[in-house]
Amino acid sequence: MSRIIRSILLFGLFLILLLSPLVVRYLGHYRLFSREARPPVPVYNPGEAVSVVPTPVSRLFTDEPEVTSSGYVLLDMAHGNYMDETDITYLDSRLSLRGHQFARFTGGDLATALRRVNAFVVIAPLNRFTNAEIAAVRDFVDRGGRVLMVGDPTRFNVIFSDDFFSFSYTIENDDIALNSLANEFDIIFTGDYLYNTVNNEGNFRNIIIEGSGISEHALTAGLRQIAFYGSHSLMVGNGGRALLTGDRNTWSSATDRPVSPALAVLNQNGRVLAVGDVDFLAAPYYTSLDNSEFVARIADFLVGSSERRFVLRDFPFFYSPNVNLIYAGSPDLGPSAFDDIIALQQAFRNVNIRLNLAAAPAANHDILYLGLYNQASELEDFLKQAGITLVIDPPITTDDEDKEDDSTGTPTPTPTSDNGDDTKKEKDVRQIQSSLGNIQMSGTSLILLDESQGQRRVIVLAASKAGLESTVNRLINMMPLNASYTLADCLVQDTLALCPSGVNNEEVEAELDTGGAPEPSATPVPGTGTTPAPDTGTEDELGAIRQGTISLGQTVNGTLEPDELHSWVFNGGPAVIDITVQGSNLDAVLELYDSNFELLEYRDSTFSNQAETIRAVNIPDGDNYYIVVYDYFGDPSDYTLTVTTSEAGSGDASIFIFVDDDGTPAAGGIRSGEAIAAVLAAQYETTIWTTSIDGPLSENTLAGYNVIIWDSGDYRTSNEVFDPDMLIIFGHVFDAGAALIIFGATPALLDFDGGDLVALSDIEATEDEPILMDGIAIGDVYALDRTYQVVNVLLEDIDPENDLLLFSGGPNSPAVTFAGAASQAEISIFFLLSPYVALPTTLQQILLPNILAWMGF
Amino acid sequence: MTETNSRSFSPLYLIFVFLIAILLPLGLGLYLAPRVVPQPKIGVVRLTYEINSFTADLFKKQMAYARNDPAFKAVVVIINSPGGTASDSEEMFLEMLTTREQMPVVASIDFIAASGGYFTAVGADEIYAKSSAFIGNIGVIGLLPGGVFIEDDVLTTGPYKYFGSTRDGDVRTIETLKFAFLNAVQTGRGDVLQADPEFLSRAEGFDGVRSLELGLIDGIASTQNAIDRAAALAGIKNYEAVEIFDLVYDPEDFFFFAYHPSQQIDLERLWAQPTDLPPGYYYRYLKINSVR
Repeated sequence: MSRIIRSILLFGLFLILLLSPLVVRYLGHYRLFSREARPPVPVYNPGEAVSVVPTPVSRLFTDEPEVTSSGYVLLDMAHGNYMDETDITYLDSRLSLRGHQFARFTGGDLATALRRVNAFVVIAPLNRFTNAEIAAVRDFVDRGGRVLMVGDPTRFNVIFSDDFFSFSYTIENDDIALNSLANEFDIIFTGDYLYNTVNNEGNFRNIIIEGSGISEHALTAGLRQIAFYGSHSLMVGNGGRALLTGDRNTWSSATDRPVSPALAVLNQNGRVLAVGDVDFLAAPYYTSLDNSEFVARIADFLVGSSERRFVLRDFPFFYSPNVNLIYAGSPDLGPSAFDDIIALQQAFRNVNIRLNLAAAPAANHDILYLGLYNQASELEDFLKQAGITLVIDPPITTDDEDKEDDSTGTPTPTPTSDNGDDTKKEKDVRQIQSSLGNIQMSGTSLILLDESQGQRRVIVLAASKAGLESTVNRLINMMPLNASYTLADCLVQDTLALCPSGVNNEEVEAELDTGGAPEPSATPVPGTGTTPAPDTGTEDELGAIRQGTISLGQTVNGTLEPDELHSWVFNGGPAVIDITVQGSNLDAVLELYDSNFELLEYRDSTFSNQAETIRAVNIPDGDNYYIVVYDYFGDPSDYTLTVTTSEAGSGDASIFIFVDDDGTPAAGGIRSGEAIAAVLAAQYETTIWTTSIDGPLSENTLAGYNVIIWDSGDYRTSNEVFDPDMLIIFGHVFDAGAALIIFGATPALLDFDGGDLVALSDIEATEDEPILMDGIAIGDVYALDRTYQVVNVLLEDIDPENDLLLFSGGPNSPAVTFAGAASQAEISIFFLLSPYVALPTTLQQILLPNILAWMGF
Repeated sequence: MTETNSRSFSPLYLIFVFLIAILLPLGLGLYLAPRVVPQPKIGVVRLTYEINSFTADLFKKQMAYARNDPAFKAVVVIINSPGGTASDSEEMFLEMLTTREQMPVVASIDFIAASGGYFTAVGADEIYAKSSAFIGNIGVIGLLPGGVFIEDDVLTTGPYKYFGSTRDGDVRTIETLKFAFLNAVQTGRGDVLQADPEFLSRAEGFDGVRSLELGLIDGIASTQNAIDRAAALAGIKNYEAVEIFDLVYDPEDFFFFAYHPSQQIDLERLWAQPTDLPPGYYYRYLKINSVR
């Protein structure tokens, strides 16, 4: 073996020995033959693989409807509706193009609110409808009204977490309140949402309805694609139909199965449309696909009812915009008729209907007939069509005819009583014969709706002028959109009502005599509160429901419905009167207006169950004055209203004169107690309490006094509004209802600026209040006995609604804009920024009695 | 005459030669073996809790470390995450793919790999999970912007300079991101995926068994099984599993995360709803509570 070979072998051995540990180690760590093949690393390139999701097309649609009518669509806002104005802006615009607009129903009687409309829209209510409301809508639909119900699965009662940015939320309640109404029409909003992960509009919950999913109907004709943005599925009972249906890839979250669900359905009679989504109505979603056209079709549906059938209780909303008022029998019309006509015209105007007095019917005008039974011969055909016969046997003659009859011995008809008692003469028949039975004319008014000959006419007949006026008032009270149902005490069919006229011992009069004002009746008018025969003013301008007339010394009762105002007419002047109202649970507010509806007095100074009184109001003439009564919170309540001659000046006052001289005197110490007592001595009992002599007031010091005169003279307390005497005085004033008179340069009540004083040397009258300023004319200037530094009260501290600014600084006191005022808003209070004895003697003699008279003493 | 050229060797000489010739190379080989053929390592990277920029940054550093150290032959990503921000989720998914170009990457789902957590997982060669794990929830969440407005005193050069996008545009973006997510799942899972995209876009979360049936994962296995599986894919049998976090971060850095990735999972934190999600797009499972 050569050396070379041996060297190679040795080197090989060396290498083997060198590498063998590495090989052994490698083989110990790695698998030589069992390594698994790995697929190549995939290429991730979404830029190529994923397409951008496009915004859907907005199909051009020109909405040019033919406007054939105008009116309102009632929009429910009374059930916690989870919507806002932006949701319905586009639908509102479509309705406007069709001559209609939304009227908001925010509460009250739904049946009453539905009277004026052809359609009712309910969007995402969170509160259930009551049985009465469901019945009202059912009745509305049965009479041709149309209803749109829109639900939305995104509009639940949801409580969000406190963290605004958090996704965390809890669903409080998934009850679909809309079903309370929908179920009445065999429609169910399923508690689900729909989704489609295959064919959708940008998101699984945005459902595209197309092709066979759009059924043939006037609401959907020509539509190719609709997109709903979060929708319930709907179910409809037999006879109903699905208008929009999702495809087979549309699943319900309730079942997670493909269900081909309905997203919009019509009920059996086609008058109730239910839609599972709100958002498609709203921007920007109404611009998607054919949504805008579908919204327009819905607007067509809402305004297009030709089946609407009205009944009497829909009065006056079934009328066309122009109505003629015709008096049956063509009587000569006098002043009291004018009152009726004016009141009716005003009431009609408030509901956008023009009422014109006419002698005969005219084409294109609906009609309101007013008349007496005895003068209704021209209406006989209409009455006969309604199955009504008026029987007056023997016939009633006019006065002239009576005179003739008297001479021939024909008996004058005797009035019949309501219950047809023994006073009814056997041969006198005064009956309304109808399907409701035979009713005595006396005490009964008839209201009939007739829709023959292409016109709507309401015939109102009564036995007497007073009965007719009462019934006219009943009609007026029916008109406000939120009016309570005023036919509740009537015998009612759809088009006929026989109502009590509210006139006791009513005669069946021969002819309508409207020559003078009617006598107020003391008999309550059913359905409009327990009121006397109503006056016929125009109180509607006050927004109050007229109750009638109240005379001096009379007490009347009334019943306030929720949010209702009552107005009463007082025309018993001239007089100085007190007006008092009190009722159970009534937080009364009293207002007094003059004949021009200018507010004279306003009083809201007490709380629930306490009497509210306007005292010593000077009614200078016999014009109509209007007393308005309402509850501060709008709660329903019974009340009693009384108008009495004011006891002002009666001397029935127990007066406490509090000379508050425990402060710092600015002008040497001025007290007016003796002077005040001297002025009042002739008519009133007074007690003087002087702090420096009698000490501070205690809790019981003021007990039994109904007038507190607080005289601080020129003294100024350092306690300001925390003055303990003031706390006691105001405690007594509020608790006992006492009146308060304040004299002083720096009374604690007004001294809250702590040092901001101005010079006052004369005062000038600025008000001509008839009682307070009796004997004082505007512009009269009274010099004080010297110049006083008085508190600087700013004019903006005066409430112009309730406070009377009586005196300002005179010509020599230009810095004083406020020197004296009075108010009866919260309490009855008068104050003058001057010591009483600083006033001229003549003014002292005039002013104090005036103040007490104004306060009702 | 024949001349014999022979030499005689002393025993000492022979012993010396033997030592030189045999033991030297052998000893040298033994010395070099662990240095030339180090024990292969399988890196353990944990994705725990919410995905955000911090967790994504931590994740990326660990993956980069594994790629740059030749001792690491495979990486196992242990996932316990409900997802989080969309961009960070996608970033980690891409990091997985990058690492896969060098070595096997196996995902092991412990409790939950939802939404962005699963988005990250699909970047692995294989995904293993427990049968009780929560897997999937493939989809996007975003807050839509509110109404737009202009102001007198602030002038912008475009109607959406203030707002960034239209409401409708955000709807489209969110849907587009959903498709990107689905594309990532299809890309990552390849032929294994049995569920169609429409079904997956329902965003359901599945247990491990159902996930296996749908091809969302490759098997039901423990974390150790997943590590073994990564070793098999890497062709190694005697390995060391190494927590890469410890190699990347100092303990002082822990305060950023308030936990060590290998600590026991705080289940309350894991499943908690986020209390503050700033505007943006999220691959996030929220587990909404309701009292329906």
